Amino acid sequence: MHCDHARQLFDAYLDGELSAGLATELGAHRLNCEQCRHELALMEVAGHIIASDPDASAISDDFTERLLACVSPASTPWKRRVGFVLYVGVPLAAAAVVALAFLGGFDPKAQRVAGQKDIATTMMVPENGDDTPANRIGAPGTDESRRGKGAQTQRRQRIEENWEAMRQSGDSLQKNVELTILQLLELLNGAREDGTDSGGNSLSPVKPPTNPDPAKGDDLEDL
Amino acid sequence: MIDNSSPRSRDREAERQLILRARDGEPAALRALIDGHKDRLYAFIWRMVRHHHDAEEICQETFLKAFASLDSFSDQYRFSTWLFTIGYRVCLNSLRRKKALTGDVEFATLPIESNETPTATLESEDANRLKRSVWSAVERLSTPQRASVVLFYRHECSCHEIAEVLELPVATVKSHLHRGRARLRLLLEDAGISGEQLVRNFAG
Ligand SMILES: [Zn+2]
Repeated sequence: MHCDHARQLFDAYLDGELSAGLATELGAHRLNCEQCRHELALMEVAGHIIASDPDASAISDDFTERLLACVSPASTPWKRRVGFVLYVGVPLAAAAVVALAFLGGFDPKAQRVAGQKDIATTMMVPENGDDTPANRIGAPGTDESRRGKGAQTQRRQRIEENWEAMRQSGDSLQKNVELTILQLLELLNGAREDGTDSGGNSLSPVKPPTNPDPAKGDDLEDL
Repeated sequence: MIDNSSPRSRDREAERQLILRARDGEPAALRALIDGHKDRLYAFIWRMVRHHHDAEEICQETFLKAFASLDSFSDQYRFSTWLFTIGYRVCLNSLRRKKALTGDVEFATLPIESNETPTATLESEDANRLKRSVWSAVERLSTPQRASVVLFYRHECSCHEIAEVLELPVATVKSHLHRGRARLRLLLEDAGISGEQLVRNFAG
């Protein structure tokens, strides 16, 4: 065997894929050829070091705990939560945006150009002349209209706040999505009751439960 | 790959059961999957990014992605292979993001640490220098070359398993592995380390 041929077999040999016959021939050549012996020795030593040199860095002791805190927050199975957010939360959030546009003159273009702090304002205050159902609650200029607008604005603001909180907080993701959806359904019902449609509850498939947060509870009473 | 303890079929069945339980969100099963794989995953990712915090973040993202798609896990794979595949993908994205931010990510741009020649007797100082030179050379390989070399030698993966992790054809993986070896040899020789010295020092 010549060196050229031997060198062509180096990788297969180092991969452990050389046939027994060729491995023997290469071994014999190696004994007699200093050049090939040195080249193979270098690669074998390098491979040995890569295989067995202890790692200079180790994963943190609390990695598992931190990770578990991310995947399974107290009592909520991670899968239900992740699945809920992915398959229910996102489409419903999209639906929420559509519904808000329907109710309150929410302009997605304005949201995109507005700074973070301006978004709520953009959403809360319908533009003048915007002929959306939310603007048509009650007759313009009447007490009922002002009261209706104020309550609608507050509700929309709360939905927006919940949506923001949901986007920013991983921990209460599901809770916030649920809350947002409930409030959205209530808002839709409220719009119908206050407005032209007397069908009322027909939109809402579920009876809204008592709000667990007393601070947010009172607003829901007037729906 | 990577983990070869008790009889294979019993291993596989235990792993399958564990994954079924993890699919139902059972915390003990999730914990077992994390604890059973985090060290090896971290070792691989750390070799790829060489940054403790980045490596842990990538590992965390890898587990979260894996858990979120456990339903799509097919038990024709080992869980570890599947996890490494996700990890490598997350790792590539992270390296790309860094590259977009800083303009360089390949360790090839870093100066090689040691270009000193080992002395006649391989005492620990020389052995350490040799190790440093080898790792410096590994860091200067391209990303797929480095992944192939590390998975092959350190994690004892076959070329087929590496192909699964890197999501590349086996022939491409072999090419990365072989080019990686050739580059290592050149880099080590540039660092003043020759096979001749090693043979002399090791074989006496
Ligand atoms: Zn030769």
